[in-house]
Amino acid sequence: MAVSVDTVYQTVLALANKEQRGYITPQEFNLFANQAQMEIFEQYFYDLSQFKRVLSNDDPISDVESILQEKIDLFEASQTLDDQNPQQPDTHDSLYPADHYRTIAMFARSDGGGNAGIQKLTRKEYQLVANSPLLKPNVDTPVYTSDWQNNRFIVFPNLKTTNSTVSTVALYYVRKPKAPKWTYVVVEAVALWNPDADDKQDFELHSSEQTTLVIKILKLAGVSIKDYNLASAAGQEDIKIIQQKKS
Amino acid sequence: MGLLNGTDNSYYNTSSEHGEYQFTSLEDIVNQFMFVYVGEDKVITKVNKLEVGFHAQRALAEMSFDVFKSIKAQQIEIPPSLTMILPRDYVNYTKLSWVDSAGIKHRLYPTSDNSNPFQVLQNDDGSYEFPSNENLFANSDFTSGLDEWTISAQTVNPAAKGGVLTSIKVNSLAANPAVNFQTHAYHEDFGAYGFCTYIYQQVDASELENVSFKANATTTASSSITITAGEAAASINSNHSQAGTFTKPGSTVRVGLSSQAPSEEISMNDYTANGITHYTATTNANPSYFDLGYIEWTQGETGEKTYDQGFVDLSNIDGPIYLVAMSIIDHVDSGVTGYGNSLLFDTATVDDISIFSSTTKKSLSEVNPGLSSTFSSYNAGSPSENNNVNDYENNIYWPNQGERYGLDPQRAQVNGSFYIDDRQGKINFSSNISGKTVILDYISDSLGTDGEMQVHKFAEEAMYKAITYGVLSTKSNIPEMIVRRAKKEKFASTRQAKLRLSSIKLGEITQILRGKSKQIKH
Repeated sequence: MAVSVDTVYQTVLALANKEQRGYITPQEFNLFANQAQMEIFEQYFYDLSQFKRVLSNDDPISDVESILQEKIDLFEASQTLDDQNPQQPDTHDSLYPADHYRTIAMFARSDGGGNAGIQKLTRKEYQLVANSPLLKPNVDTPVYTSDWQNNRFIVFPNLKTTNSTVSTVALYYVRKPKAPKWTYVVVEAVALWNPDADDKQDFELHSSEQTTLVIKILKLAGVSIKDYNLASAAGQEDIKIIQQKKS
Repeated sequence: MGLLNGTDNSYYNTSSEHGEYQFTSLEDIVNQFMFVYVGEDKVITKVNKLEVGFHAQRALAEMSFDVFKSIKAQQIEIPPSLTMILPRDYVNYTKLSWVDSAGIKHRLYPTSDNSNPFQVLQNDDGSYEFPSNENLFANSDFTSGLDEWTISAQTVNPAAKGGVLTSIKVNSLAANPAVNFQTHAYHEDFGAYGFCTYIYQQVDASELENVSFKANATTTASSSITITAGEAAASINSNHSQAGTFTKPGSTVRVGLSSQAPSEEISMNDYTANGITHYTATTNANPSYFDLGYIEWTQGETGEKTYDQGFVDLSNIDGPIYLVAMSIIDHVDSGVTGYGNSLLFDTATVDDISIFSSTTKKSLSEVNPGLSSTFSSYNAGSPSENNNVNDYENNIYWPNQGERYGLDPQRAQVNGSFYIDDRQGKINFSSNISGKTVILDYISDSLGTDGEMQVHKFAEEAMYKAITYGVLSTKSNIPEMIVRRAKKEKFASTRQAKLRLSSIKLGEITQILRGKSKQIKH
């Protein structure tokens, strides 16, 4: 499913016409590759929001919303989270996973297999609901607030201490794509592709994104090597792809 | 797809499941609502589950008042005070009745001719009295036993280890009742065991400035006691009682004021386990617990003592304070095992605790808290009702036969009357109900406990519609047409639910209507 980092690099070098316009080093390529991947990845969420507002159809291979959702699904992950501050019995205090990008949902898992959704509240909202008898978070309607400064979240109440049937707090989230890396060995001053390196990393995006990746990297490379014809051509191609996708 | 879980065998053998299928839990309703009613391409595109939970609880409460069957009821024997405390989850009554010996309920009717107002304390000239030097705590002389006092937990060991180790009692029949603390502190192989038991009352200190207090107490001094072989054999558990000479530790009493309620821990244990010595003495035993002041009697001291540090300044305290009387009977390291012998108890007594404010009270005082002379008169009255109504052979039981013309219909009944004193949270009854069995049928909002939060399946659709309307009507940018549609659906489904839950059966109605052709009705 992944896009080969070597295929993209070789295509970029070929299109950039390295002999005349300038060589794109592996280090530069790796930086551009990550930038392009993140740009495409972040755009998924805005595109999905846009396509949720228009009529969709029941055919998953032509319904844009389903296509986008499938691309995001590649990055869905889940993790059970331990209480980092067990001395505080009223709350469940956990760190977000290091590769956390966006939260999908949080659940309290019971021993019996049931899942209770944990709702997200802002700190201001929490202060309001905590003092309301009908809204006060309890084991059936737990809530959490985020503390992004410390990369953590706090669940109220502490489900493990207030409800013995709850065994874990589980976070479902969209993880960050891993940064692509074209690995190489230098032979006679030439960088040669080394696919066996431990830190080799292909693009994690859906394979349909190969063309978009090449175009976006070319655009960045054009700016870098000050070849505005290249940047302009890549930019126009990029716009054409976007228009095609959204029309 | 079937909804039934478990087997017939488990259902018929589990009483808590009987009839359960007719209900759906509120939690299930909220979860199902979140999936089916909320999302893209739906009427409600986005809503927080907490909000849905709120509207679900509101809908449940409203339907408990108007739609659901009233199933809650309490039965009590009416005490001489002629009052019944309103149930904890009471919202309103549906019927009050007394029950005769045949088990037939006789409806009681509310009266508007009586009440139990706040009877203002007045001076002889009629002006309002704002007393000073008023005793701030109720039942401080223990004439009503331990009423109004909160009592600490007690320690009761298995019989093999001595049984009751601590007790707090008042002999209300005594000429001058006092609270008696009794504790068996002892020492055994693993360690030594002492106890700090207490009673306390709470009072709002926001109006108080300077107070002083005094009390009367007795304590016992440390002493030796010789248990004979005969006494040891006759003790609670002869297996663990030994003959010999034992040291009794004596007792200490502290009476004082604290800004904190006492800890529930009463033990002053000193024991060794796995070579480690543990000491878990309750913080109450530390004199610093009485942060506002205390008086102490110890090792045989007796008699009345007054707080000798002047007045306790409460002007900076805005919340409650606690008057605590505690007995401290700690272990002694006598090195012998003697538990199980009732002769080894130490005792302490406390009586006549008085707390006086040196300043004039700022708010109005009541003559008898919770009991006005109006209500006392209502209590003492002798209504003329004839209560021989369970003579079902005699249909002329009304008093003053032939004199009933012109009676006010609301008073033309013999069953008795009541009124609800919302200020005190009690139901007051007319005196002819004294000693009778009374049943209160009432409604609650079904939000008291998790177990109550369930909806009859006849009303499940009405719940969804009510939540939908609740959510839509509080959101902005929802077309009014949609809100109105939701409102109509809510009312229609609520009406339908009420009709269904009325449980009108054709056969039963037919039976009732058969009576309409009778010329003479009984």
